[in-house]
Amino acid sequence: MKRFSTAKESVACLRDSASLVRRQCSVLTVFLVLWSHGAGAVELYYAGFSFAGDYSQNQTRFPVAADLSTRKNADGLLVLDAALSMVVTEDYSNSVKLIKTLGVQNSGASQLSIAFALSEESTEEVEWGGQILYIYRVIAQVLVFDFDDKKLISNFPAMLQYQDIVEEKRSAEDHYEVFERIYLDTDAVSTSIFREWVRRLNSITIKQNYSAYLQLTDVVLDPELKAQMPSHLTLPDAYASQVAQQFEFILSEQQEVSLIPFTKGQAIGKKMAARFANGDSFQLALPEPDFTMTLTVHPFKYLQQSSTVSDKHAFGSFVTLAVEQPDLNKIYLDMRFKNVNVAVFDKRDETVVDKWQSFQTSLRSLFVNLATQISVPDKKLLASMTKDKSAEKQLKQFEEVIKKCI
Amino acid sequence: MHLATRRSTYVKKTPLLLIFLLLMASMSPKAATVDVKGTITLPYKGSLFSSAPSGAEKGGAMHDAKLQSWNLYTAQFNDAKMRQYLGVKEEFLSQIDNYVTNVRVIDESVDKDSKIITVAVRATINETAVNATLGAMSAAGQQGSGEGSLFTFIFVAREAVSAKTKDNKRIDVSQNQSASTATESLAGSGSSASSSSNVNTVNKSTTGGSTESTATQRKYQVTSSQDINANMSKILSTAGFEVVDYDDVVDACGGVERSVIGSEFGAEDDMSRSSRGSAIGASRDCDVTLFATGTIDIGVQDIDPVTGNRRVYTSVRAQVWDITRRLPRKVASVGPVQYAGLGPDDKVAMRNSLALAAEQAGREIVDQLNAKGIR
Repeated sequence: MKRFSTAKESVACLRDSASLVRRQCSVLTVFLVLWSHGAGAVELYYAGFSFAGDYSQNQTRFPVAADLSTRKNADGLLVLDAALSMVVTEDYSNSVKLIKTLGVQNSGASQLSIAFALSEESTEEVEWGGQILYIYRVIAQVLVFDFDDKKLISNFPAMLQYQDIVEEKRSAEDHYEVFERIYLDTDAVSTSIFREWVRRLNSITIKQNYSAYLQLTDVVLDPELKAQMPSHLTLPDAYASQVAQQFEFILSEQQEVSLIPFTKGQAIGKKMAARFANGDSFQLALPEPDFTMTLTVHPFKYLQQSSTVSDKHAFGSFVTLAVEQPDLNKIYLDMRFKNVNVAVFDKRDETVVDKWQSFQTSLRSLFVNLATQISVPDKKLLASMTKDKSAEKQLKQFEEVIKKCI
Repeated sequence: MHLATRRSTYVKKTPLLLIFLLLMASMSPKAATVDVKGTITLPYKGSLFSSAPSGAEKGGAMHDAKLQSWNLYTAQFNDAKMRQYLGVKEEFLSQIDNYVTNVRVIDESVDKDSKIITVAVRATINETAVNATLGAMSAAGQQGSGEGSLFTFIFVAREAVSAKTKDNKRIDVSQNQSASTATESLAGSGSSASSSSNVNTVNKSTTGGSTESTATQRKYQVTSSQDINANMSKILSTAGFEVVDYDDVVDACGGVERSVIGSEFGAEDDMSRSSRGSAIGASRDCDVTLFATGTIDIGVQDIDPVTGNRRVYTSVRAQVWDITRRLPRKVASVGPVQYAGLGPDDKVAMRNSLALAAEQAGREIVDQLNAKGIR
């Protein structure tokens, strides 16, 4: 039994003990850091088909997919999962190793997982020269997430748009059949959403983490534009979401950038629900955006010029895109852009154009032009899109923002 | 003597600790991480030939950014965890690079006129390392295996099977009063006289009383507490406490049976005084120093509109006593706090909810005991 003869000796011993504890904690910390970081190549676990958003809205937002999600094939497999799985097996070619057989499960180990997340299933009906044009649109996200932490790592939208011009109005059953083909007829390569999704998956760079995140946080519709909207688009929020998803898809594909999904009216508390075909479901935490985009859609403009032989129609679309770092209140881009699509028809054809649909085509062209001008500016095209002399400089600043998010 | 003993314990434990950590390193799992965003605003001097901040000044801003991110993260600690952290804050700050990793400058803004630089950063906090270090530096965490406090607990999971509420008892009191007033007038004309009188009656009614309410009497069905015990034990053991099964206490040192306590919690909101005395006495005889009881009430079951899963709510309440002295002292108290568990059916949702409630209650208990330096 040791006794301390002096206070000095006692203090020295105390110091020794404290130093030992500190040393031990230092050793502990270093090992914990090494242990917890666990280096290794990126591997992806395949999670399958899921619905993005609240379960309670699935029947409204994706009526056909929600119905198909309970149907099983002859082997007892869910038809949506089986079709997607087959396409992934056949088409997957991304350099990241995909672990498909195990599925995702609580393992306590790192599981960077990937899911097909359906985010839109919609039909548009447009009168077109005495005929009816149907536009079927399915948008799905390539959702990369951390299964253990239940947080979104990256997100790349994929879109399939299929158009049909018919003589007679289609019934709900007819629409169902078209969507059923889009989901399940994987032999029809150009109209299969699963083929399109895997094509998109093959084109992206998958990383374990990203330095910064970009998000389209708001789509503002000019009040005059709301007056131009056709009666079937009674909910401006629905149109805003549609514009957002198209812009996201085009920007993400052109610039190969991951985007935090636009979630107006869907995500609560920066979370996004994902429900899988097998019934598993959870909420993914969305990262806070480091850079935000706001898109303002201005009223469309229409002009017609007629000659003795032809009718010339011009459809103008106008948007203002603002890109900002919200913490610094730093603006990188804040500019109005335009696009004019011109269509010329032989007067003898007496073609009746659908203005709204033509405006949407013009808007999509504007998004494509804008997305390409960010990295490959074409002075002539840019001059036709904006009169602002600082356009090239501002787009360059936007490109730098995108580079930080790749 | 105490210091010498503790020192020798540390020396003996170091190889064991290293082996343990090496084993963990070989398992190479992934850390739980938290991303924190923040901005730092700093004045700078600039140089003779430039009004922009120098590289060294930007480097200083990065260090401040790291500290700021750390402060933002620690500000989210609960009270107990914050108290424990404040005691060892300097240890963390001296090795901040190990906890705040991957600091990324999102962008910077330089005001050359006022010579102020503002930097927006995103940093990743290695939460696994933070929690493990806090645990290791706590009084309980510094105990070797077999040296921690003996901790026993009785947690009861119960589901309300009946709720009886007596009708409110109303006592009304009324009082009626009436009063009459009369006026008489006389009129004379020559030799004759006549009289008339008017009588007015006023009724006044006063009512009052009281309503007597009685508390709802609930009967509970006590369900299996195996999941609770497993989750609670996992948290307490990891934190350095020596968990002893209450049934083993009863076997070795007597005391009231768990089933008796369970049935008492089925009928009432608390265990009887005699049962509590018996359980604490037996635990003390078995050298147990910390004794805890708690209930986890299984509540509403519905469908979660977001995920479509079944959802079960539970409410947890727990208390921990230090029973080393004659009079037990309450050293930790949790809840009532509600948690929701999800699952494909009610049974799975309920088990998930119970497990979550037990785990969270266990963490809260550990944080409170660590903050008080109880080992």
